[in-house]
Amino acid sequence: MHILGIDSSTEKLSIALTSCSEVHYLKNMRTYALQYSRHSGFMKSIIALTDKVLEKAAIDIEEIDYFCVNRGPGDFTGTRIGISLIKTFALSQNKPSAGIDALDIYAMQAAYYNAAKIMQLLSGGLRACIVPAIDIKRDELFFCIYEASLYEGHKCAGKLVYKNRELFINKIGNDSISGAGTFIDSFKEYFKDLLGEHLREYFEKQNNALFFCGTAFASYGSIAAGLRELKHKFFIVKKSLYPDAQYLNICAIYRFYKNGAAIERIMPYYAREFTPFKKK
Amino acid sequence: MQGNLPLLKKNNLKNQEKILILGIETSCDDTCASVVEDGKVILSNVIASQHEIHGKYGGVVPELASRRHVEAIDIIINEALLQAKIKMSQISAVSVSNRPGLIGSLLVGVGAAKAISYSKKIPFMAVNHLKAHLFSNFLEVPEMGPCFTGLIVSGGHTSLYSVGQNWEIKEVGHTVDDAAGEAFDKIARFLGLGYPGGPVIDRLASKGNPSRFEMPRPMIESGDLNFSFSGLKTALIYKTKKEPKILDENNIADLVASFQDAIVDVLVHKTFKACRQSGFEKILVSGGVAANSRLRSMFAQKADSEGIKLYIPPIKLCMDNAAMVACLGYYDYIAGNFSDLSVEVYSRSDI
Repeated sequence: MHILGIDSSTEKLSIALTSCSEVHYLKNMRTYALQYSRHSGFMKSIIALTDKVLEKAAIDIEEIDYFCVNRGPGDFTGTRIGISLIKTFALSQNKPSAGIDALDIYAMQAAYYNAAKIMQLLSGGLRACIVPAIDIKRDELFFCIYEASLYEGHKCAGKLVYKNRELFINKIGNDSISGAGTFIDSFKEYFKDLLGEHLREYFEKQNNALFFCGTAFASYGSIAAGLRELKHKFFIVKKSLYPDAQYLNICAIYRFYKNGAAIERIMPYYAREFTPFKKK
Repeated sequence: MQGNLPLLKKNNLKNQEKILILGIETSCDDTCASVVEDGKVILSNVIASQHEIHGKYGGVVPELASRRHVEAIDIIINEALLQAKIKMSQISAVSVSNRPGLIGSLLVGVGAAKAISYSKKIPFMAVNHLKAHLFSNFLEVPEMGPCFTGLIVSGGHTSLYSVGQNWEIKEVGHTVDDAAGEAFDKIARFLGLGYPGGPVIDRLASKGNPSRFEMPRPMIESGDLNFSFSGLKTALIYKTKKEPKILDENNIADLVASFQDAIVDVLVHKTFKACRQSGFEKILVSGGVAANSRLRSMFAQKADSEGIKLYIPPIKLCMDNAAMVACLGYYDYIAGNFSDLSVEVYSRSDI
């Protein structure tokens, strides 16, 4: 099957086409991807770039089986352009579509780049948590905690196959907002609530790892310094500061096989409710 | 690839019995889609209004409008196809307004139109929203032809155009401050009458005496063809501050009738002046405020007495709608004026 994914939720537009066999869907996966930093809007180039990706893959849009998009949170306008395009592609081709949460994509991407390290940790009886945090402006961050596991969790964002072993990226917390300056404290509080009495155990085993990713770490360099206060092993995954549509596709494939290609009404996901200032 | 698209379909043009244009319109707060056959037969004209959302704030909130557009766009397009009993594959081309309007709103519609054009390999026409308003008259009277004065009067625009022999469109006048519809909205908000202001004031004014309160006719003798409605609004506000009792239930209908009359009077005066100056015999009126009953009757009376032919589309086509976008797109389509898939959106634009 062929999956077309568009991620226009940040300043880096990313489009990817993933082809995989239905049975071993994460094996023999081929991906053609393109990333483009914008100077103005994406509206000018988004179709030409989609065309370029499809041309490179030698696939016609009529052959696409599944259309997916990063539904946010992210840049309002960019996210809406992506959603509008993907929804209409799906409608005009009469094919299913999916809107994937931004944090799921960042977590999947961070796990992909650290799969070897994570597998090693898990094999040694240790744990690995992934924390995507994105800059949602007004000095606030939007974040959540995921855990990489050999077992599929209740809220699983997707899975990877590394050396024939399945690695599940399970969401273990709820989406949350914190001040950019108070992120470390918020994270500690949040982690404490999440792990309860296991928290001490998590931090005592210093080799349990924390992987941080997302645009927050591109916008706020100061967070990295603050993380050292944790006195714990952590990594900032530089390759997952901005989302890449390849990992959006991996999350979508998981959903496709898990839930079936149900008709989905893609709704944008906003970090906060919008309230106009003047209310009468 | 994009360059070849229009040619590809243009060659097929001869074999097509009917030309079906899918129109998409999202320039302000209504999500609209329509299928129009041969530029004149409206097979469907779906409008998803957001008035309830913006009503709370007394005017359109751009961010809320964009949010609602992106939620509704695919559903509205699908609904337009269903109502027209047309499959996406039967559509000859897609037309969308890409200027002028709210950027965030326009992007949703233009994104959808580009996606359809690219994925169905059909031509794409990005059209001017204001020009589409003028063309809404062609849905009713396709044989109308050029040489007319056009007035577009809505919540965002109040402009006069002269359309010459070769369809050259020239703006001859415009508002220097508020649009007429904007003045209606602001006064309705001031009086606590609700949103959108135009229809509410129209209804209330029908029970009132328009000559009871004296209202200024701004710029009526200005010599040019421009409008100004901001001062009129202030005049009403001052009047109510001076004599608060005119806000009583017994007086309010007379007050809004007088206000409405002042606006309509100026619109009629300047439009007929523009028509006389150009030596034309036809006037076209469109835009949301063209739905106003007082405006319709005053224009009709004046046209009768001056021997001018007047065209005002039915109320549903006066408001923002996608049928007019499809209609204008049809004329671009038969002329081979296709847009490139790299077109952008513009908040301001000449016609």
